[in-house]
Amino acid sequence: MTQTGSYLYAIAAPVGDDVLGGLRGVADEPVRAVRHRDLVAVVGTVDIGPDGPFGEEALAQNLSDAGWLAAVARAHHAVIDGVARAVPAAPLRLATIVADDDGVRDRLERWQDGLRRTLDEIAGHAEWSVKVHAPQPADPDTDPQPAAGAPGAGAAYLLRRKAVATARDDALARASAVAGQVHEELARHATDARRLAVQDQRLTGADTPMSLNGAYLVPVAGADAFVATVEELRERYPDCRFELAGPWPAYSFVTVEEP
Amino acid sequence: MTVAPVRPDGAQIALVDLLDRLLGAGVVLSGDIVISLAGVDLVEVRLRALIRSIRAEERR
Repeated sequence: MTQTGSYLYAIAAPVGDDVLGGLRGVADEPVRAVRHRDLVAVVGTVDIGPDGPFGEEALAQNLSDAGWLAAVARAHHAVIDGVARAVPAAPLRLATIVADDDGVRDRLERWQDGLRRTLDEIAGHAEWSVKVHAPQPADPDTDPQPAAGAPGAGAAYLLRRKAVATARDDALARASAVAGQVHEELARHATDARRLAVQDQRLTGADTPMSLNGAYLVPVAGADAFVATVEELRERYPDCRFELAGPWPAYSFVTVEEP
Repeated sequence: MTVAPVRPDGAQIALVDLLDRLLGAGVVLSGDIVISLAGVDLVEVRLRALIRSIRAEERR
């Protein structure tokens, strides 16, 4: 027996079928609007039966499949992005599924004040990401090393190890200070700003640790000025590597607390 | 409510950034949700290894 649920992508201001009509969801299903007062939930119907990909057990398994997770995350994002380009939209977390559309309307009713406030805040804005990576540690190896076994070789080795550690600590301290200054400056050019947890170096594949993973809510009209500020900061701190990305839906600025 | 600001096209979002946001932020619903976010939380523990393998695939 097929059992279905309503998969939620975003809660948005009223959005036309011309926008939703071109979008496909995580199960390649068409997406539709569930309306309640002046709010719209963008949802799709997914199979949550024991044999469906979004059934409780299957979902837990599927989410730990890298390929499946990547495809679903991309599809989830594509729907939110399509909606957010047209109207203010608050994205929902991955795999938020309620029993049916009545459950969706129930949420819209209960959270309408918080949702409206959130949509008002992000209207006319987009999220930008700025990351800063630590500089390469200075190479302390300026003195020629004595040959192994020569007098003083052991002490020289220890000194060199200490110098390497110091150079690495200096680079990290510098990166941490730059991160604070960069975030402060960018926050002044943004309506809201948030420091996300830095990403593990093994995930980023970068040569040096990340010291800033900043998210910035920037008015659409101020985007050029924001990008120009990032370029200025890049020139001011040439030893640190900057990554700028966006504009994205306002993922990091839409937390709605349960009343 | 303010309506209809048009947001320009964004660049492709890196998967690691997307998962950062999709699993950690966003409006969180609870209550009579059929499939709880606990499923996602369980997965987060293993996420690092996963993302690493995703990145490896992306580089290929």
